[in-house]
Amino acid sequence: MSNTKSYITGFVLSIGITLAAFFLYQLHVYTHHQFPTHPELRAAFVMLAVLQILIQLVCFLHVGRKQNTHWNTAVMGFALFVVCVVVGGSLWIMTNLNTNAAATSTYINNLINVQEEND
Amino acid sequence: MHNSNANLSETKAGFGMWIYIMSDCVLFAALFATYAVLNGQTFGNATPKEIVDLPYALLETLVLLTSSFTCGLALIASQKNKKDWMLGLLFATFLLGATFVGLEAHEFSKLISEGHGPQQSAFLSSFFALVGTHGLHVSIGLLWLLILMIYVAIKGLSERGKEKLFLFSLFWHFLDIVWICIFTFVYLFGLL
Repeated sequence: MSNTKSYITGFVLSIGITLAAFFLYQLHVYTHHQFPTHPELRAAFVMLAVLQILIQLVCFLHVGRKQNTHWNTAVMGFALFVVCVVVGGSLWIMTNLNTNAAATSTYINNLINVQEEND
Repeated sequence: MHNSNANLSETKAGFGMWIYIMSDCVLFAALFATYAVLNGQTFGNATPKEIVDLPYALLETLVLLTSSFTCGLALIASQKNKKDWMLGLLFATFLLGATFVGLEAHEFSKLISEGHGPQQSAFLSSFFALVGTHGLHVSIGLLWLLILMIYVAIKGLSERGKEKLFLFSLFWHFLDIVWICIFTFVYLFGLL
């Protein structure tokens, strides 16, 4: 695949994927949230984003071609690892804290209810 | 043509740029994590759903995507030693990039004038921080591009100029990838 071709392929596919995500949402509104449903839409958006990132990495940044040195790939792998730790870890810890906070507020509400009953 | 590209990506500068881009990736990851965590903390102000204008975000996406494409074509033109084509395509990249920044500035000023400024809630702070940092990167990229165009126009298309353009194209394509994440996780997910 020549260089020009790889840019054109990347460009056309990227536009197609962006429009696909957009029209998927329009379909969702048009069918009154029946198809695709919220979880389906979420999964579709994530998959389309990952696909588009991979396409741009290959077609625009030429990752994974022979000319790329191993060091470039190693650095990218490490960055990807840190990204997963930062994003995944933050979400994990914070949702945990949120759940615990919600439990505390329920606990306090129960205490108030008990007190009101006693009054 | 492949070979000249190969040589470029194996230079020290190419590797250094790659390391910078990957560390920038980590910076954006931190901002994305902040956004994801503070997403629901609206403090009685606008929710993500209320501030997302999807057709407008789609327009921004298409403009930035096209500028990434013209940047790639400019890189090819430089490798074929077509200086005029390269400068023309870089100018198109500049115009598209400037349009993107203009669109985003308009979006921000509209939000602020409607009372959804970054100081209103944790969600809005994280929204402006994430999208604004990307916009800042694009703005600095435009400045870099302008300097690059002047450099090539004055000094002609040297090997050094080609390498500079290659480094810029890495940066520009990277910003496009970050925007795809913003479009998906801020704009599309904001609607759900």
